[in-house]
Amino acid sequence: MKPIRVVVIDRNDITRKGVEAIIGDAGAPFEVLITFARLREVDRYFQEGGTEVDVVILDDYTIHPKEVTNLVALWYRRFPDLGVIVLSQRRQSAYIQDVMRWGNASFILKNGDVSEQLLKALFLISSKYPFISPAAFRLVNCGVPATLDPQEWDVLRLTEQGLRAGAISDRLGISLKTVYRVRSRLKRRLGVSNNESIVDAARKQGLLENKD
Amino acid sequence: MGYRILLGDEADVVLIGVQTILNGIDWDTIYTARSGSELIEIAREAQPDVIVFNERLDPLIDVLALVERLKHAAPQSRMVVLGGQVDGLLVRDLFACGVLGYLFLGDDLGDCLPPALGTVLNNRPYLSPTANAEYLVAMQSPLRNWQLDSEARAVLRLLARGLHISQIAEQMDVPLRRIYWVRQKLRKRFGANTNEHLISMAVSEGFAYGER
Repeated sequence: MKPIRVVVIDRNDITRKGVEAIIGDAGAPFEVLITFARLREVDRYFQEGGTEVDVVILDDYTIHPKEVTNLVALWYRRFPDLGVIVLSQRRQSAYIQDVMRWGNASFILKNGDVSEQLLKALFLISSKYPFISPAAFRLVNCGVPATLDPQEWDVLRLTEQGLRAGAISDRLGISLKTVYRVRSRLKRRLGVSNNESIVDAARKQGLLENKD
Repeated sequence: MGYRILLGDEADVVLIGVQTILNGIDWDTIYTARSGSELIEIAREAQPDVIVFNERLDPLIDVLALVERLKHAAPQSRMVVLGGQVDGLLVRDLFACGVLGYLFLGDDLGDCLPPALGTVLNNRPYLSPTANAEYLVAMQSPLRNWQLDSEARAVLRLLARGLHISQIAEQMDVPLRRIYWVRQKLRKRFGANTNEHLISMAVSEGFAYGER
């Protein structure tokens, strides 16, 4: 059987060695060609002709979500046959969908039995079938996050920045009463009962980015 | 003589990675746990020499509460925390609770973990490079002598549930001005201007006080 050649990119030493050990223990047809801690080293590797790679496993820890999706898109354009598996702790459904949008990408949430899912994803992606871990699948399908109008977005973002209602009203040029009314709407849409939980709930529903 | 070590992380890939790094070191037994309750249970039964666990192991218990329970379950065990979001003040609080080592997951833990375990086994503290730098910065902070103790965490939890200051004072049976003082300290500790901001910052640091 044709070997499936894998490159692992992970800033976190522990998970990088864990992924390497899982693939090493699984044996043929998998083969880890090389591992990288930093993205710039990968760029150099590809520029210097590292094209015999079948699958890249990318742990998105410490990489900005936008950079991850740009990278997956770039690899898809440059190497259409390359499979990409993103390992992540990010739970925003919009982010998961952005990654999965690029034909040959798979997504695994880094919790629970990652080893089993990783091997399954490697088999599938090397045959051009994308894989999404069950936990990530639930996040994507657990319901569309609340949709907000522009004013609600503005109030939510300023609330996240720690502005008081008075400051939000000044910044947006709306009355204090309107700020209170918009916050009530936000609470209803996000399904929470107090102001303190608005930002947390918005993060959990993927409307705001987690602070990581 | 070999030592007994207990590892705690939700993801098997992390447990496998740590075990790979520890290969070749003289350990008698390596126990593993996948949740906070399992970690406490095994710690109580096995009384390991060292417990290494992820600060986000249990979404229902904050890391300081988990440390307190572990201390109670296995008073002689040395504790090393693995953290993804290093905060010098949190490191200080963890050390005050009895933790002996803190390792930032973005550091080169393949190199840091073995000496960290050797150091804590000699009952000496160990910080990985980034954690060390953040700890030194935090020690310059005017809040360096104020700890996120059980009272402060209780106030935080009740604020997140939407209770007013007067209700919190009543529930905790302490004077109103004490709660105002604690809230002020909490806001400074998390760099927050409002209660909403405070809760969102606390949640982002792994203090699971959002509505559940």
